[in-house]
Amino acid sequence: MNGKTLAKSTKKNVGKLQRSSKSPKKVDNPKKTLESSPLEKTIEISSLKKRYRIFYDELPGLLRTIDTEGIILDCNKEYAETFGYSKNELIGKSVFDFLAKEGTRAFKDSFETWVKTGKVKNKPVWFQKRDGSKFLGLVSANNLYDEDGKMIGSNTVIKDITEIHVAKMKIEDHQNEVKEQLMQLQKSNELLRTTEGKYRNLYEKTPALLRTITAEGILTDCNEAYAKALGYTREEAIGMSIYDHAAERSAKGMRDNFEIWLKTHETPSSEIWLKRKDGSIFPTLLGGTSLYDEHGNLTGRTLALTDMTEIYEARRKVEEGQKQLQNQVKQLQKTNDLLTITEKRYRTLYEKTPVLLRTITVEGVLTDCNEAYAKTLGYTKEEAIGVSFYEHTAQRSVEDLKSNLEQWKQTQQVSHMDIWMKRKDGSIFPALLTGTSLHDEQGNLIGRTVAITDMTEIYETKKKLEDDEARIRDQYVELKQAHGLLAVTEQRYRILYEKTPVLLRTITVEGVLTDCNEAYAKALGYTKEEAIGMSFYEHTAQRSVEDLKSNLEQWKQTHEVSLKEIWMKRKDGSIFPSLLSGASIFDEQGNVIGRTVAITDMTEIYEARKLLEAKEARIREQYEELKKIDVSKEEFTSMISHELKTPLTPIMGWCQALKNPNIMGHLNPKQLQALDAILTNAVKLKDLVGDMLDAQKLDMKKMKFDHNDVDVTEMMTFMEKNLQSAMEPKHIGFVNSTKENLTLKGDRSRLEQILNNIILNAVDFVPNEKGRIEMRAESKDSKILFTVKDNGIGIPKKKQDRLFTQFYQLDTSATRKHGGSGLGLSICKGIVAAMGGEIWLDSDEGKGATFYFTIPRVIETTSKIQEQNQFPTF
Amino acid sequence: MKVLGIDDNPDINMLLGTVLTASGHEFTSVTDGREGIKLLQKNPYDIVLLDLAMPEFSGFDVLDSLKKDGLIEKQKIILLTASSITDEEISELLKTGVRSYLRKPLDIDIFVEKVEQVHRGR
Repeated sequence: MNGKTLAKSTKKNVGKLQRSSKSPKKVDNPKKTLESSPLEKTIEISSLKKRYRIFYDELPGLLRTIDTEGIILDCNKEYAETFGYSKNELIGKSVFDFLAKEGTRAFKDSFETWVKTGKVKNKPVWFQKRDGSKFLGLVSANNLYDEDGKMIGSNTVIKDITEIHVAKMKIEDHQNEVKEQLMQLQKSNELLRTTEGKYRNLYEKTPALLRTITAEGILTDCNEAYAKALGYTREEAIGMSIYDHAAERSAKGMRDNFEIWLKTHETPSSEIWLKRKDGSIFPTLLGGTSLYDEHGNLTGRTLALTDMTEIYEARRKVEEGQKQLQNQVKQLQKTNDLLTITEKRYRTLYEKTPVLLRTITVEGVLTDCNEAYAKTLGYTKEEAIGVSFYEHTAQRSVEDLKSNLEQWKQTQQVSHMDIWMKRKDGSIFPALLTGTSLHDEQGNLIGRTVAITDMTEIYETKKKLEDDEARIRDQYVELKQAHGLLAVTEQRYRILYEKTPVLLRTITVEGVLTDCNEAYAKALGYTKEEAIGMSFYEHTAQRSVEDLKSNLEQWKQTHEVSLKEIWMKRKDGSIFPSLLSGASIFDEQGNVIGRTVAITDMTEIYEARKLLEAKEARIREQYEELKKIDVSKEEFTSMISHELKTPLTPIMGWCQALKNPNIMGHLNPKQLQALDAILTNAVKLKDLVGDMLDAQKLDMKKMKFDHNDVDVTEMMTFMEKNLQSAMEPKHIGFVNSTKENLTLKGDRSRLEQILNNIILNAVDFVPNEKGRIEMRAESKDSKILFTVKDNGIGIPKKKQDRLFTQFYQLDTSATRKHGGSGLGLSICKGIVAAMGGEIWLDSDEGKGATFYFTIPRVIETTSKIQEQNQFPTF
Repeated sequence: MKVLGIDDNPDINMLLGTVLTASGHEFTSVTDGREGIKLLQKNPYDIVLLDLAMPEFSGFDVLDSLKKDGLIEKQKIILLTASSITDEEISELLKTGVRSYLRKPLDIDIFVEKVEQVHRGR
């Protein structure tokens, strides 16, 4: 685990959190407001830290972080709860303050060793909780290092092993007790054996007390031993009844014995208590031989009485010893039972503890293991036992384990070690080993019991912690970058705010200015310092106060700032129009705390608008004028029509009159030639004026059309006949190939005009010899298609487009040659379009030309305008 | 037949007079519509040739006046029009009692024919 970065980032984060918590948000200083963005970032990191903290807090086991002075820098929830303190109470305290008296020395040793070597002795230590209760903890540590690799502290995990310890202690106590009892029992047995031997000796060696009695029970003799034993002289004793020598308790026994003897002559061996002269009693064993006379009559018996006192004594002692022994056995049994229970409990503990336990010989062969151990490694207990512990060790840890085993054999100390275990399926997992040596009665090392803690979770936790750290580190870097960027952006924003020509102000929800830019202050005639802190109503012209009020209300409700025209008021009381637009400012909780308003000085716009309005008025005027001009133009057209044509009537009329011999008499040929020239040119002039007027009418969309029934077929026939005279000079073959009977509703004279224009145009361009023009009308959908085909010089493709534009002529020489206004085809196009038809041509240079145009059967003219009707109805 | 020409252009009046006289007709002309009305109120004519576009008192005014006097039905009026007047507009005028019309510039032969045709159609 990467202890360095943890220590580092933890410190930094703590520092950051404190700093950020000290900078409350102030709206009245925009600079501070702007600086609150990194605060947000800090909060973000603090939330990360929070996550990390939760993670740390929720780690199972007692976890604390200490420095090399033993000062607690941090601890998790469980640690604090276990010790019965709050975390704040614990942090900053020395770990020595939480030791039980009996743990102090061991811990001190261990701590000093750790400070020196960085290694933590695997020695349980007694800790003391707030309530005075104690627990035995096994300490393991992960050292923390600074950047130079110097150890600066550790994350310590304390495992409460009190229960195991207590169980172990109990078993040891009981074992001692049993041992002691066994020794006592042995002693008792020896005593018993001695006593028994003595008894046997006595029994054999004690001289018997002998007495001879009559059949009536009167002593006839006794030996010295008897008399002595009973405290009599022989003389005294003889002649006395045996009952005098019997203790009260044995009187009945003696009588029974006597009766039996009288009947059977047999003396059953029995115990009899004899009474001494002084009244004291003692036990004897009675054995007897019957005495007979020569006739075989029973005359008495000789009894041998053995003083049993000592035997009794011994027996009593033996019995006592036996009783004691029995008691002791009972107790032993009890103890054994207890031991069994304890053992059972111990075994249960051994079996049921989530810690993996195995017991190994000095060679490393498993003699026992618990279910947890077997299960974790994927074996059954039976499979696991008898196997070398190397088989349960991952390859990477075999060497470590070997050296650990060697070290253990030499020092009999099992040091705490991290080891990778191997499961039956070959998968591995990290584990923490702690152990206790086992010794035989002679104190020889015979094995050890090892507790193995599955560290997988811890490893994962550690890994997660590392990941988190890395992430936090990355985020910190990003944050730093973002901060830098933010500073730049801030600067830029500030410059923008200050330097923009737009007037900017920032207001609170009450409408009090918390900031404004120079442009704003300057425009209102204040200094920035004067302006800030004022209500925005003070900067508003009276006429706009109500508007602004409602705008403010609307903003408060919707957080939307709508575009608004407001009259601002300067310090000197002068006012100017402006346009307001704004953006709301929110705090972290999303509450609206103000808005920045951009104010555009509208004075110029107002003036521009005024100007615009004036211009508009002028344009309108001009428009009206133009309209008038239009009218006069039309009047002009009408005037031209009349004035240009009026002189033509007498010119052409007089020419005709002169040519007619009936009217003016005969003219000579030269005069007639001159007259023809005048007439021809008059007709040309008439046509030119007509074209000009038509073009103008079409331009102004003022051309008017009739809506009469037109017999198209008849019209075509008429046209064919009417135009023959135009074909004569060049001997053009002119054909009308219309076959259908066609009619339409429209303006016949205009149709004739179109055809005339196109056909007369063709006449100009067909060759002088074998010129040919064909015209045709045919129905095409809802329209009538007119075709005029010639075998003339044709029209180049690139010139075809422009053919229908005004005054366009193929070449100037042609103009001179063919004459015409240059308006003919454009007029055709205009009329066709006005009638709702289309006109186009198909031609290749040198290959003749075909003109097409369509006319709807019912003409809906767009240019039929009724205004300015010169003809009121009568 | 007696023909009255009302046209502000004396050249045209002279032309029309020459042509009609050559055809054996009697032709009187005035250049003012009001004068023409005065003449018509005094004596009826067989044919009235009326130019529409006249300054001050136009052909329309003349028609108006004749309509008021109830003379329009009794006179055979032929309008002399400019090309800016459509056939449709003329057909409207024809409904009001005008007998025929001729577009300017006039074709002399057609003109005489037309006048005689209208006169015959009495």
